[in-house]
Amino acid sequence: MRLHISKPLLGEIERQCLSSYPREAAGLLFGRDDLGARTVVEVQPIENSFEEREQKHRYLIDPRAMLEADERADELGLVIVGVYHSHPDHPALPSEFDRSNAWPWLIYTITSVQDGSIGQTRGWLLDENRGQFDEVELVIDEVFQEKS
Amino acid sequence: MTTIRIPTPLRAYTDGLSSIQIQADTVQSAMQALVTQYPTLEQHLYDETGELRAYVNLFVNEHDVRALQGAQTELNPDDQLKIIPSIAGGLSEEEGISIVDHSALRVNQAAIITLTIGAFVIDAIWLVALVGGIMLVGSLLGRPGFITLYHGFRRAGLVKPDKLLDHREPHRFAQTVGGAFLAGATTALLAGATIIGWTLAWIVVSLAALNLFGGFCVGCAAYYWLGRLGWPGFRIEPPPGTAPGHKATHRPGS
Repeated sequence: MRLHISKPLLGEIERQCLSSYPREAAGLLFGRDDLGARTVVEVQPIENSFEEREQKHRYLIDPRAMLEADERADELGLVIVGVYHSHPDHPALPSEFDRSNAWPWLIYTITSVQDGSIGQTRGWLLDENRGQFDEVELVIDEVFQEKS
Repeated sequence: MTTIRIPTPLRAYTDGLSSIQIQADTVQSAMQALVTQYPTLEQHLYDETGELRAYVNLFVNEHDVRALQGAQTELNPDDQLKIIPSIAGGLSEEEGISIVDHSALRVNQAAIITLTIGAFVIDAIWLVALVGGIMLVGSLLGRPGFITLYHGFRRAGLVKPDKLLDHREPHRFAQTVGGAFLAGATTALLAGATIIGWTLAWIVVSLAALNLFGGFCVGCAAYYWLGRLGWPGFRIEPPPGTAPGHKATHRPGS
């Protein structure tokens, strides 16, 4: 599986992750799903709904935000291809908490932020047995992908 | 017939369908009928004990069933039952490993050594107190006390980051013990116990120098050994491939 994202969109995610630091940032990736590859065409920051004091290491996108996002994806003729979040001062590796709460099919990208500087972004996909995350190839395109 | 709306991540298990028509009187019977029709959905909706997973939400039209009658909420034929994910995650500090910038730690150690020796040379008790205070405040904030100095050096291009996969707590513990030693040194010096005071200060200088030049953190080693003695809140295992107190070797992404 590959996930294509343009440099400007990745930049949007990174800026949000930086401004939320040291709290976790989160959001949704809208795009298209083709066999074996997905393409992000829009990113939507979502407010972290986890308890304020836990936001340093937790994020939550609540169901009403998901409901609105799903309807918006339908209007745009897109699908929610994935979710992004940051790991402040930690590597871009999924944690056990990420795995146990993950949804299948969605690609989870994790952006590491270290002492206020952006680190790696890596993509992950839950395997069929919910046992582990497999890494997804993240392809960073120079060109912005059109919505239609 | 009630319509069940399937969220995108689960459509792979419903032959790509985004909505499914089901004959059911309650939310519970609708969900049972759904997993009977699409058995591979079950593990993603229900946990090992048969309970609905924590981040699976069921809405009847615009209302969360938890605010209605839960699984027993009745369904009318024109109702829409929506399965809506909420998405949660995040790092687990208790299980995971952090990225620790060892360059920041080295600048911290160099500042502690330089200023404490300077305090000894000019016989400035206030400077011993200041260094100890900066270390303790840094520990309280979970960062090296002289992190601002490090950021200044980085901006000036004098140092480069040296990010390693490591645990933060042992370094924090080591800094706290060092800060406590300098607080003890200050108290002793103010009380006129000069030898005790400067001995404590020189212990801090020696251990910081051993870390800076020898790559061995005595405070970190003590931290792991306390963990192995069963002290609550202390880790037992250092980062993979290293012995307690020795410098971490793995880099993020390696």
